[in-house]
Amino acid sequence: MSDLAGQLDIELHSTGAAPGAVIRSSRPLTAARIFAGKPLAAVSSQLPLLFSVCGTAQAMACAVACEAALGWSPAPSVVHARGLLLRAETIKEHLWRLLLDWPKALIRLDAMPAVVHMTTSAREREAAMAAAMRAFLQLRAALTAGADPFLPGAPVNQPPTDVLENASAILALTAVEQVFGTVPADWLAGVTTAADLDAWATRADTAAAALVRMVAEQGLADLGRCDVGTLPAGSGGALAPGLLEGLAAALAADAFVAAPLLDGQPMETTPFARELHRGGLVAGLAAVHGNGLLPRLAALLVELARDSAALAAAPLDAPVGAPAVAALAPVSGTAMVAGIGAAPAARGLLVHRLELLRGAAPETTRVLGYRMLAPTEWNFHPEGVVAKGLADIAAAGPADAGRPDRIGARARMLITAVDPCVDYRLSVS
Amino acid sequence: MCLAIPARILELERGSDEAVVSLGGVRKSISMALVDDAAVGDYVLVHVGYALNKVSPDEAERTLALIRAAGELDPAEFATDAAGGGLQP
Repeated sequence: MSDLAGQLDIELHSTGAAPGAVIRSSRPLTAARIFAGKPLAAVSSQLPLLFSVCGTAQAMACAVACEAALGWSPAPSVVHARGLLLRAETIKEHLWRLLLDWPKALIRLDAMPAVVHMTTSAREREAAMAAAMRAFLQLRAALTAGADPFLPGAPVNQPPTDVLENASAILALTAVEQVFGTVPADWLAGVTTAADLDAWATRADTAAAALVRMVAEQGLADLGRCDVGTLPAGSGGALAPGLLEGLAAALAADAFVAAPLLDGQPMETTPFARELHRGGLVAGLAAVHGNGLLPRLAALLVELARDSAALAAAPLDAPVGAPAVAALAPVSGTAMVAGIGAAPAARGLLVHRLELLRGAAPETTRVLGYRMLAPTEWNFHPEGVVAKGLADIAAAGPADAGRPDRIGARARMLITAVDPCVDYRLSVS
Repeated sequence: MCLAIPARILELERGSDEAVVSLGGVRKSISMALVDDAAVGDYVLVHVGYALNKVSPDEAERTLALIRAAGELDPAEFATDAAGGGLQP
């Protein structure tokens, strides 16, 4: 049963004539087939049960793809509720990366600097993460207590504001105490260049500041750097026009879902990719370090700061960006419609494409076909951004401080930084 | 895809965050560091070696039914492989 989550098998070959990296995946990529034939309302409620790790992003992509296909509009309060929950999920996920995953990976690389830098213990960080997780679950319960805001065309959402504000405050406070050491809005305004980041990392006494110091001191800022590009965006980080429509056709093929390309090239979709197109700190770091480790860490921090600041300010009033959607050409003479929707999940862009048989209401509208494209398939493409970064780590291996275990540790750091959302097995030879 | 698997708690180790759960009938050790108030017999969602949160037996069964259905349609031989045997730097 646990095999059904699938995993990645990653091999690094650092000795021998041809150093390189091989990535194989057993992730279930067409599980959404089980929704074919089901009523829309059932699919809407079952989908986040099945894909629960980024359940909010999944529910969002489903809802907006359906609404695009059907020409339905949700109430403004529903748009806000969805956006708030997605923001909270991203905060929860980024906190997990910063409090649990990155420290583990960096400590594995070299225990000594970690002993010096990491002033909070693993236990303390886990306790903080547990509190953040509880707050997210309370927020989700409060926002879904009445009608499900992710039901396509959902009517008005009126959550209990005290629960909302409490849970939002806990999430925002976790970011303050464990990551920024200050109000996230102030961090955003004050940390806009590499020099600012360095200055903040030197004086702040948080686990996240320790991560920045460790990356800089161990010369890891460029780790994983390669020439794989990012999914194109328009101004302000919105998706390039026509991108979704282009993906809609390609998504019909299982082989594309397993190893997606854009114009024949592997692409990256991650917090780094999102932030790169927004300019600012991450773009400035990328000008020096490309898509290396330090720009990736900075992207997590910037996104977390922005989302935490929005949550702390006015949870239900914070402006929410519209997810990207497109209605696809309906099949004329039938009640069949199709739509594609993309939600910015914590790890990258999540795309849902579906076909529906239109009924008068969710109860009588049926799903005919469902295809999904997750960030992991872009990022862990056999020739993608992680594979290329790992190949360089493998090639550099033998020359690196004569410690073969460091090859595996550096590989794990890169894999952690891009985050496959699934177990993986790494072998180094 | 991003699946968290419902698992029943079999043993809780006192004084530590480790638990033994039944993950589809297989005994597995996971961390309970993110979940409090869990007891033997409770169901939790498991992802990358952590329990994420408790779920009701009803939600656990509904989720497992979906996962089973997905497994029947999507067997393990859907493993991808790098074309040409891998990437050279």
